[in-house]
Amino acid sequence: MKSAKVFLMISVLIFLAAQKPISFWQKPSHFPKPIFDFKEKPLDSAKVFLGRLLFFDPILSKDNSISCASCHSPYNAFAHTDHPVSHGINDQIGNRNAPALFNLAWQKLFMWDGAINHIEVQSLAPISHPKEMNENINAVLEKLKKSNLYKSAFKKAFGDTIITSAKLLKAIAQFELTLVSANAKYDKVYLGKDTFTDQEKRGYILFKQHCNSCHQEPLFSSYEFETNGLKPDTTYNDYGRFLMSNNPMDSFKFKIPSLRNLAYTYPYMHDGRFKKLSEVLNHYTNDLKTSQKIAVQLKGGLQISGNDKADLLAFLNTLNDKTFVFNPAYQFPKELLQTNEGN
Amino acid sequence: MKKFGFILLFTYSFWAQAQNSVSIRFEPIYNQFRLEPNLIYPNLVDSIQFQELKFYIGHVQLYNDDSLVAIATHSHYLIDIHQNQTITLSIPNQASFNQLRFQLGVDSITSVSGALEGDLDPSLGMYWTWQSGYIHSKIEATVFGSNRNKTQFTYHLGGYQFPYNSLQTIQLGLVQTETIKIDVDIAAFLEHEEVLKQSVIMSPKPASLVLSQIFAHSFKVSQK
Repeated sequence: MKSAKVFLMISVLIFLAAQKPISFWQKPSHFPKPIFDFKEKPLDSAKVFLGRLLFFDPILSKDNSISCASCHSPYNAFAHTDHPVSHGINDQIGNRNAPALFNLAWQKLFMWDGAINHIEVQSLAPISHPKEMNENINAVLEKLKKSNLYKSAFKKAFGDTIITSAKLLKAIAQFELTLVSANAKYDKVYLGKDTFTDQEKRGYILFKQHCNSCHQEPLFSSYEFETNGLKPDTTYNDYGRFLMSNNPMDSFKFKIPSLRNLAYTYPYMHDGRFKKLSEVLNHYTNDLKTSQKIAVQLKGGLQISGNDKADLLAFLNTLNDKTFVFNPAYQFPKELLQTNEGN
Repeated sequence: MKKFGFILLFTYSFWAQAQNSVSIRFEPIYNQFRLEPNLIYPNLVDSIQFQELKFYIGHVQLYNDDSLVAIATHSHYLIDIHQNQTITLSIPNQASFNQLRFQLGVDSITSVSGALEGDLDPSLGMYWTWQSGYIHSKIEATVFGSNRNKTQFTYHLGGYQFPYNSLQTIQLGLVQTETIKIDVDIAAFLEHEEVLKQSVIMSPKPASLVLSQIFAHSFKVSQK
């Protein structure tokens, strides 16, 4: 009798141990395997929260005026609506459009030119860029060490109050990795929970015909680098990926952006030159700068009629993920207000 | 008796596993003088003052011919004239070695591994922020000419990607001692004709690669 009890207890324990721990991050079932290694660097709720504090806190900038969220606002799918290029410290203007932040775990290289090789070191770039936050990482650490909120948040996240740049960078990356957008109408249709209208269906066929080779579903980007036939802007003279690789074949190549959440992320292109999606489509059908280096898929321009464009836009509209944009876990953390009020 | 035998065995095994330590110091020198920050060093026609001299030494290993004898505890060490740094390795008792192998720089796997701690912390001024990757050698100096015109040298050497992977592997034969001193002859580097051609390098490019190769030749086992 006693042994039966022990056996039962042991089986319950084995059963409990076999249960997977509740993961903070779950891969959407229809998404491919992410590039980020979550086994090696699992997400942790305290680190994610610390990262969220840092993401929304202007303490990262030299005069405490600009936060990551200044140019990557949750309501714009973490882009900067209405601004062709980003605005930094002292109203300085950069030369590229702030990219929307989501599904970053599936991306190998970051920035329009792929200058950054790992999400954990990405935030060093805007923190130190003279036209963005213009701050030294060591000065950020000194400011954080004086804050009780951060002492406590670092302790919860990393087990001690020693604040280092590696911890700060890891925490910001952890928050950014939670930004998964996979709940648009497209996703619901894909998972059999919704259906496309006739127009959306026609648009989906056109998408697969004209767009999918670069903007591959379900992420809606291959995240490769391509030349898309834009006339170089003579103000910026931005050579894109060439600036990183020094390879002339990379001149004017930029990272292919995802087509998810376009309704929230205008204006479009690396320099934000187009305000409307119709302008983007007209560029691809009528206005390509033909050069030898243009992406092979675009040679000769896309052949899409006016009616077809309307259908295509209807499909693109199914990629807008409202639950992503309004997810409460991604919004400004109220805890930051308390520090500003001296608590 | 049995017990005694056990103690003997225990003592023997402890003795067999005993380790000796070997310490390695990398010492930048300028025309025989040990280099220190902000001192002015005379040259033939001018004088020179160093503001920064830092470089990464990675994967430090001692070999006996082709067999590995010991590996340093950390993968990388940042050598800085502003600080004293000794690298200590443990070698098995009675083991011998006749060669030191190490890398100048940070290997590509480490360069794509995210935010790292310790000597690889990106806040140490050796990480490029606008693009990923470590500066493996930072040499900043002011040269005062005979006419007292100042010339500034700024060499930030690095790059981990093809075709500008600037990582250098260095092998130095040596005579076994408990302390190994490696002289890093900065004068020989700065007076090299390729180095004299340019005063500023701050990104991975062909010149960065060439200067990294020249810098790697400045590492010699100290004869003193």
